[in-house]
Amino acid sequence: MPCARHPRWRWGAEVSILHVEGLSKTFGHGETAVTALRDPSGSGKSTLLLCISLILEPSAGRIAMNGRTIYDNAWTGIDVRRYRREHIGFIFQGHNLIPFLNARDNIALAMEINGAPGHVARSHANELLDYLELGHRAASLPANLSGGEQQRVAIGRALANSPPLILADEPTASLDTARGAKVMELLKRIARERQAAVIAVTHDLRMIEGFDTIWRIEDGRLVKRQT
Amino acid sequence: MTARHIEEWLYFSVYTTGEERSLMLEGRLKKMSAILGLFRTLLVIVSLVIIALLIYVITVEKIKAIATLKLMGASNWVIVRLILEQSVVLTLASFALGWTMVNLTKDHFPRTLVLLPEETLITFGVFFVGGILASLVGIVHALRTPPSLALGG
Repeated sequence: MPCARHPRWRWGAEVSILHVEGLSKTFGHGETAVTALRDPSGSGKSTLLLCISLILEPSAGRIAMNGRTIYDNAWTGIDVRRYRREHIGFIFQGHNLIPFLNARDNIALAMEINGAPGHVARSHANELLDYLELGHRAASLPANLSGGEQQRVAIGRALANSPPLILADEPTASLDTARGAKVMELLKRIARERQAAVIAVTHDLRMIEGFDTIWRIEDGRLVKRQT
Repeated sequence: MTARHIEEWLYFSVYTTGEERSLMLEGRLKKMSAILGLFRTLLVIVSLVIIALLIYVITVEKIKAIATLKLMGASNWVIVRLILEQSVVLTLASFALGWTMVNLTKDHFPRTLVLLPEETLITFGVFFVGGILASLVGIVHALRTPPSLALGG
């Protein structure tokens, strides 16, 4: 799926904060990858996610998805925002659910901003909630859901448009160990069953068991640790 | 004849009905009308500033949700529409409240207030356009919000 080769990211004018060197990685359907960080903050994981999610423009390199080149030392004229909503699902450290929308509408919203009619979006949202074993909580507001349920709704939202790539930014950070492990299991199941590539970032090494590929960011370089 | 007699004998000024009407409209009533107009203008400005501040505060409160929507790929128009919707609802609700209060209390004023429908309509138009303009501050803030704000704790 996404393939990044020799990209470098810069903050401000000249200061390079992350230099991914020699990385030429293709993620396949159903593959899970974890970027495990040595340092919980400041190591460049957000920068990495921002580049993969087509928000931050790399200073050099190439990014391709589904065989289509998105960035090749410059954006290739593609509508990046549209491409993002159609091809990438996001899971955040905090669930980032809209507090005044119930679980079903939070998921339906992702489809509606992608142009789906309201009734179709809500119907598909119900199916996703059933898939995530949250069908009985469809009408609940995020404040009335537990931390694990909130994160599962957030995962449902990420799956709403059936994206081939799912990016998870420390999805277990606000959960206890047991719930965190369940969320990571769910991500692996989603990759397998829905044929999506999942890239998760975490600094909790207990959560990465069973992922296909594990990377670390060390001194601004992305290093493959084990397969 | 009678008028001249009154003027010469009682030192009063005598006016015809038409002259008196125009004197009132040009003089005292015009002044009162100008004062009322000034108050109305000031109140409209104050109301719109309050609406602008409210929209801005509501937008700032939702800034993480807005960043999340942008990260998910929502177009700028979706963000603008959300803010405009809340601005229009706020403007309509405040106008309806003000209109109801005026109509409930106008008979208790010492002077009769004549509220012409066209004036109400103009005031509504001014408020409606003003409310939309007031939301510009919030819209600019939202559009400048980087999607990356959604990442992190």
